Amino acid sequence: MTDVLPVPEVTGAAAAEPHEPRRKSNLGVAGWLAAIWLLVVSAAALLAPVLPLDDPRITDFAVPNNASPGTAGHLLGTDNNGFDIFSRIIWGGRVSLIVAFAVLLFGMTVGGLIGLLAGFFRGKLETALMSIVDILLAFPSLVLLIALVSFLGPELRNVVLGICIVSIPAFARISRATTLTFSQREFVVAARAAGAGNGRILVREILPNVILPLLAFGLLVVAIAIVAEGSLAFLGLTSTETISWGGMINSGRRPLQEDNVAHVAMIPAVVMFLTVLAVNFLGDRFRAAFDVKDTAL
Amino acid sequence: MQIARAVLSRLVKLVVVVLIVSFLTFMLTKLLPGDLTNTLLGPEASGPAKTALQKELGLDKPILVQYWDYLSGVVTHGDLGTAYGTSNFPVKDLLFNRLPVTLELMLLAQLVSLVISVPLAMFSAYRANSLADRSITAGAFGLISLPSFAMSVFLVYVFSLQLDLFPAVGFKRLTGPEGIGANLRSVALPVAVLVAGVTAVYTRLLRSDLIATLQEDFILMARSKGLPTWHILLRHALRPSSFSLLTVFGINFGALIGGSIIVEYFFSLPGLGLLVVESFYKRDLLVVQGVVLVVAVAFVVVNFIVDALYAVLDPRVRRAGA
Repeated sequence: MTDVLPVPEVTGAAAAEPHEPRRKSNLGVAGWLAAIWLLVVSAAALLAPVLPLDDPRITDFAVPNNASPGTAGHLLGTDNNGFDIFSRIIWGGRVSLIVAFAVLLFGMTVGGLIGLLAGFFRGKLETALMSIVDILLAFPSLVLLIALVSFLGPELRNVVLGICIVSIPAFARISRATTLTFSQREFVVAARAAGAGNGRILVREILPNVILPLLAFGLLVVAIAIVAEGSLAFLGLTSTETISWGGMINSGRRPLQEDNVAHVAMIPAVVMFLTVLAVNFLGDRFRAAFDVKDTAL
Repeated sequence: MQIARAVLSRLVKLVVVVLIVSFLTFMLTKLLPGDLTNTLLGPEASGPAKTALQKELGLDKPILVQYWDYLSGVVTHGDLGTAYGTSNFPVKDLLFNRLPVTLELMLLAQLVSLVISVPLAMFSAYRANSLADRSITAGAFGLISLPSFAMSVFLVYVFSLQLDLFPAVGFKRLTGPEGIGANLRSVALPVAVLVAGVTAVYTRLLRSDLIATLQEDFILMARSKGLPTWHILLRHALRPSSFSLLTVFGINFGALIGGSIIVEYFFSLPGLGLLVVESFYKRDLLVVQGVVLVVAVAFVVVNFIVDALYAVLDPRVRRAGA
């Protein structure tokens, strides 16, 4: 289930084994399809303002609401507000893109730093930092997210911030476990013997080794973050100003359950599934390449 | 002696975590911009009226004193406050009303998932890398990537719209006039959504642990004694392979809470998840706070119990006492 953040094991076993020759990432047909799908979705989302699309917030009164795909210039039909679904799918991709990059930039940086410091300095600092992480993990992630958003407010900025906060523990654990194994290694001892200080060892010796497994793991967290935003939007807990796939599925719920009209909910559900699948698939491949074990996905 | 000390230190840790979790949940309503009196009396209320109400609710006391009052209220008579939305219900009663639905969903989901995933994983591990194994692994991977709200859409489309087997929305109480059959029919699709995700996780996990166990010498020994395959899998390999499964079984209660929120909302089932969402809409934060507190504490306690269960499963843990 993708509703929960993966909790990597705390043991050193989760770390990359630097002696093993790194397998060349062999994507295969499925991998290429996944990469192409993500590229297309991202490119379309980025270019949404300049693409010749219908305005996603304007009702087309010329056709009935919930018009089926192919109706009068609406490639994927219209939803229950008479909005063009195709255009909303493309605009909705922007939110997923924002969430993905925010988690990688913010969640990974903060979580990675916490884990790095905890794993390197050990002692009281480690106890303090990892206690914070454990407290965050004591809340089921969607519940924590709902609590955060009810506190911060439903605007996109706050939703993204909430998702980043919830993603921190996973990154912190992976980064700590990796740091733990590397800080005992010969090249660190050698650097210390050569007179390098803590800062230099952290930045020049340990960070480069921690960052790759962290990035590989990051793609999996990105998939979960996209689902998390989708869940909130689906539950109607985010601002209705934001066009999001989750929100589109929500607005397709009534047509599906009461009017037997499936496409309004179905199209965003399929797009969301394919996107999450693609991110997960590539993440899995990268992770295999860097041998980060998923002990508790 | 050692065991007693280990259990005691775990218990102390549990209490500390519960205290911090409850404090954070308590702060949820305190840190909000605008205070409770505004919500209760409206923005145009006079200053003195607000002060009086603040005094009545104890809002003029220091924050730690307020927390202590809240906590002792919760502990001594389960007082979680009163919902100040449309219904002036005690939050406790709301919770008790909604809890059975969520519990039914979660327990059914866990049970069905175990029943499906254990044999599936054993088969998959025994026939590792066969076509069947690879299909199972690929299927599990696909299901893990399927968000529960998307899965709900697909299942409703197939089983309600196309096949007309199960209702697309609504809930029938177990104690209702139509009895258990109608109840099970109304939760079939929601439970299936939860099961899909959970089963995929369990199967993947148990499969990889079983494959590792099957390389062990004692399995070779059992095989050379001529024991039948099912006996080896069930009696020799399953137990030492089930530790990660057990951990994730505990952690999954958290995921299932998330999943329940989604399916309860999608299928309009009156459980805790729908309560949270409805209260969120009404800005009824005392209810959100109550649910978050109960859920988080239950989650911590479940994981504590799972930790303790290690000792039951693994004699090595029992002896080491940790």
